[in-house]
Amino acid sequence: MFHKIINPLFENFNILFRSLSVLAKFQTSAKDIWKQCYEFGNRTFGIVALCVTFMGVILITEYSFHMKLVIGNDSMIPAFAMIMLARELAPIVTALLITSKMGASIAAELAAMKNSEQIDAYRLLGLNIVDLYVAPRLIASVFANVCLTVVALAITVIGAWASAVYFLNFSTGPFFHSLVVFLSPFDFILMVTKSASFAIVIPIISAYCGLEAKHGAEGVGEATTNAVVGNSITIIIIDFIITFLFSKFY
Amino acid sequence: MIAAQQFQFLTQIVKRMPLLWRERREFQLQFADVAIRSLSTTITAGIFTGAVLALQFHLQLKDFGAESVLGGLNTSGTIREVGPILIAFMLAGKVGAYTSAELGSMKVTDQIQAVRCLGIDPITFFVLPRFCAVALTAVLLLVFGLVISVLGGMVAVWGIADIHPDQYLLTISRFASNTSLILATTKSVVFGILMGLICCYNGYQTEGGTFGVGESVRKTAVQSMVAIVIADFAITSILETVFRWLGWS
Repeated sequence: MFHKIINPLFENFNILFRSLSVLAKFQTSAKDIWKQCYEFGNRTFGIVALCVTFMGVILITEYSFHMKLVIGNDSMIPAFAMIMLARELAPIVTALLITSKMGASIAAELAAMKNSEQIDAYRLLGLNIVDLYVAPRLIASVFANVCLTVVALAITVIGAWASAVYFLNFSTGPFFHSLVVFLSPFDFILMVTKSASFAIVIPIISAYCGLEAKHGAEGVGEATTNAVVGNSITIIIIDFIITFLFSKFY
Repeated sequence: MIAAQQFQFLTQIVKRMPLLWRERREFQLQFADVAIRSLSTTITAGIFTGAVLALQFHLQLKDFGAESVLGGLNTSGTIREVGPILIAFMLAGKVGAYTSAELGSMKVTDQIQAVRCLGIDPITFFVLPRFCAVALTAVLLLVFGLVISVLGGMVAVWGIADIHPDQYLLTISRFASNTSLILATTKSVVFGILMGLICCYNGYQTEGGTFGVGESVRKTAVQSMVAIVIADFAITSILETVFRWLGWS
């Protein structure tokens, strides 16, 4: 029972340190990194922007419902909703979407490579798959996830503004004024910290699940499922830890 | 385009719904399998969703000295909006992706063609019991996860913010009204049906060998998440309008 938890953890850290050491020695080509940035960033931009904007629009109507019950004053709704979005929902929704899109495809690709014995072929040539495959994805994932979260939040501010003006009868001035008063750089730092930490998790766990895949089509499916589930659960646990540490220092 | 094809697929499944009784054995097996395997994921997701949101609401309310209403606010906020979405995201990965992988590997190893050669309708035989099992388990697990999230939030603020469970539970009934429960249940039902439809569709349409299976799992996860967010928006807007019309809110 004990080794079932410790061994995967050890393997994951092994993959992480191996790819970090490759990145530190600048052994990855810039072309690979840019290609992965395109995959992680541009290809996922559409769904991330769509989902986070929808979340923002719903959140602001929900907050107006709750704040009327709690304080009986709705002038602070935009600020509250945006703080919740920046600290919590924008990073986690972006990370979960990137997990399901890129994490699953990393796991599927590595599992299919393992099935067709390409990984063994690389090993015969004296190349390690982690150096070639995971390292560029790791740095691209961090870069793209942070950028996507920031851009998605910016789009959401516009979406939330439109819904506040249209549904809740706010005026533009008070809306942006409350944002300026309540949103602090601290929220922004928390958001970037969260999205960067989630982004480190995604390629590592997906690569681990792909490399541990069993033989055959069922093995590939199982590896991909494990990657999505493992990533989601790890992300929400890390989210809790970071929020907890933040609430101690706030 | 994809949505139209999936709707067509759904009508094919619904047309065969009376035949579910004949496939009840497979349905029971799938139901038990999916439910037991996803239970740990649901519990973890529920506890941490509730706990994280409780921490966030605590930080926001602390500045206004309104910590006494934390329990009600967190419960209501979690079950109405954020809880269904986050737990459904986790379940889309676990329940949906697994069934999609299973159907996909059956497709690429020609098991579905083999069944068709025997003169049995593959949609009735494979897809119908899985769709019903996934939809039903997803609904039940979502509701269960939401109940667990209340517990998670309670424990988190007890341990971290030193708010006693009694005080936390006291305000829940003031905030979580019947409309919130209706909203949460409707969302769970619709998300469950969407998950079942998307995973069965993508699994059944798998092509291209081993890599195709991984690809269809990825498609299932992405499409479920986008569908869940859009459905969430639609349900919230429609039900809020209905409640206002009925004068309940």
